[in-house]
Amino acid sequence: MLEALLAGFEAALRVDTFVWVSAGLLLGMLMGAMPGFTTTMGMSVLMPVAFLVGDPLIGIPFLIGVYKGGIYGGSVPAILISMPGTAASVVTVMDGHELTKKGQARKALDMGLAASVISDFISDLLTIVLIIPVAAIVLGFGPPEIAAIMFMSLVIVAVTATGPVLKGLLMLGVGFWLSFVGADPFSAMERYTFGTTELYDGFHLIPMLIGLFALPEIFNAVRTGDRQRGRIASLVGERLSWPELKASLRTIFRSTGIGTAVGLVPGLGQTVAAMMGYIAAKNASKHPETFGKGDIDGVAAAESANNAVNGPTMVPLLTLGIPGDNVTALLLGAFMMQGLRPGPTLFETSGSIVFAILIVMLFANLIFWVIGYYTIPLFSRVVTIKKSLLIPITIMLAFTGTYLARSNPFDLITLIGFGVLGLAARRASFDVMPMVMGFILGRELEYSFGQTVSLAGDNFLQFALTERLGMTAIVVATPILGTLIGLRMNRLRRQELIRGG
Amino acid sequence: MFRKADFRLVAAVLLLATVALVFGQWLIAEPPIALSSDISPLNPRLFPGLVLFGIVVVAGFFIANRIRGADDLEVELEPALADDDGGTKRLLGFLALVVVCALALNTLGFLTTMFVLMLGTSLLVGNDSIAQIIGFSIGLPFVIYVLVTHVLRTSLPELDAIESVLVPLLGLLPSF
Repeated sequence: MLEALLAGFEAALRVDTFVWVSAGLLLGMLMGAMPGFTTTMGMSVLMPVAFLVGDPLIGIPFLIGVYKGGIYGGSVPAILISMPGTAASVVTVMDGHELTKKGQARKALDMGLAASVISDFISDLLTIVLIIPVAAIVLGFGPPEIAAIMFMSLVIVAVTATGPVLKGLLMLGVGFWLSFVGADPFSAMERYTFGTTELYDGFHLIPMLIGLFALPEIFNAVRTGDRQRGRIASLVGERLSWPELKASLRTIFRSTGIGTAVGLVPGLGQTVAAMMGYIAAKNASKHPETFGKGDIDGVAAAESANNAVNGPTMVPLLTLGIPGDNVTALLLGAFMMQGLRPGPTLFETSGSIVFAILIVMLFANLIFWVIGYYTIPLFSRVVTIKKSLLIPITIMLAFTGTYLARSNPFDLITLIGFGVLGLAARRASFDVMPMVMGFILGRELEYSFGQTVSLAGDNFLQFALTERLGMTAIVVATPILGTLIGLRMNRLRRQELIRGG
Repeated sequence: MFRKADFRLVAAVLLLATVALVFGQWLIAEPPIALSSDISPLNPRLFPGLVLFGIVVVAGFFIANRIRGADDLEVELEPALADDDGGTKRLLGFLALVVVCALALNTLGFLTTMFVLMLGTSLLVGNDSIAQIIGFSIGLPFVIYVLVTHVLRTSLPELDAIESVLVPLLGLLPSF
């Protein structure tokens, strides 16, 4: 494993990789800074680019750059115009916009950037340290343990989805069912293809992801029209000073710890981390009454917690093949399209490439700081760009990207179908995340379970209770874990609702 | 209650899942010969059947809860649609446009289809600058076409007439 790490270090030091990372960071910040354009939308539209460049050490770091830039970019409109660019920046609004009202917008944006970069760097470093023992442990996993872990992840994703648990479970079921369309993994018999050859390989991941994440935003923008004109974003005030940053370092480190822990659990994500980091900072503060009224520590807490999630989400993704949120689901797709199959064997087969990607992630933070520092004034203007200019470009990119994945026009129809489904889900307050997870892991779970049945032979119960206790323990613990996380999530949502009035 | 978007969506899912469950044996092909458990340890109908059954149970429970008026925690992702200024008409027009463009891509080629798509979308979204619309609708698809075909060396569908004009022009660009 250490040899792979060293080889990865050598492989990571490429100029072209860092050029693409910088491009990804800029595009991500641009997408994040535009209200109504989410990071997942940007990543889904740009994913085909990562696929077409054909080199995992360019394509995947490019998408990671979009991810990192997007999460920070979301804080720009949150601070300047009280409109979070991404869901992860919802908590940043509370103190960030209050600081803007006090004439300290520049300071808030600087703190957002510093907190993001510091927490991201530390959490990426922790990711590399954590991933080595985890990867070594999961190397011993077989199909029964993999199936059990997938089952657990799907339950966690369903209970942590936005909204009631029943809605999460229902979306998970729909995603699961969609994954069955096509040839059965064992007998290759057709399922729900209606005799068409286009459906024999099932639905492709790219039209599904672009359809569910990007198209509903576009549909919404078309429905509402361009109502953005006239909004003013002013970047005023002094820059952040070193003593001010130093005073907030304790908060940044605390939130980094929280964000790292949250990132390791599939399904929780940046918004939960930001909320937990903010609440922890408020509780630890000597003057909690200033939170929500323009406390710079509030911005530091929220931004460092949401960015600290980025790295650790890679641990379950790369070692177990389990994406923890929408963004890692997109990254899973990107890995698969580059011929890398995240899971227990990934480090055995492509360890150096994976470590190289993680090391690029770490160094990307330094580029991120430099780019962010000099481009804040530019991105503060982006929040006022007209949607009517961006929507046509986005739909063209969505069409082109989808077509290029397989050069199959049928995928465009699939894209529109998933777009309509995504819009319907949105309007009915259903989170599409469990559906995506169900779709990605559905066939894998069926396959692993089938292999487990084969291994078990005639007596499955005896196999589970004597030979594969790890699998049994995970399966038994899943409902308990699901209930506990579900209750915690409900409490957090209630707090959020109360705060939102 | 019955007019709420989530109720309607769950009812539709329940109906479709029930139909798929009932007609499962016609929608999933059986192996023509019996396969041993080593080759096919699971019947191809087992997992889909289980999942559909789960969907029916969860959807049924959701609907029963709604009918009983049980209170649950609702976090609205999207505010209810208050259609006022022709938003639905614009949306339907846009849907028609994207479907037509999807079907026409192979016939009309990339540049023409993307021109129509961007032009239509710009008008529907409310861009009122004709110069901007025309400039973006012609320029951007052309840039993407050059990037994809010349830099990434991947083919895009294009009309023979347009391609015969573009190929000599693209030949003047430095190769990557």
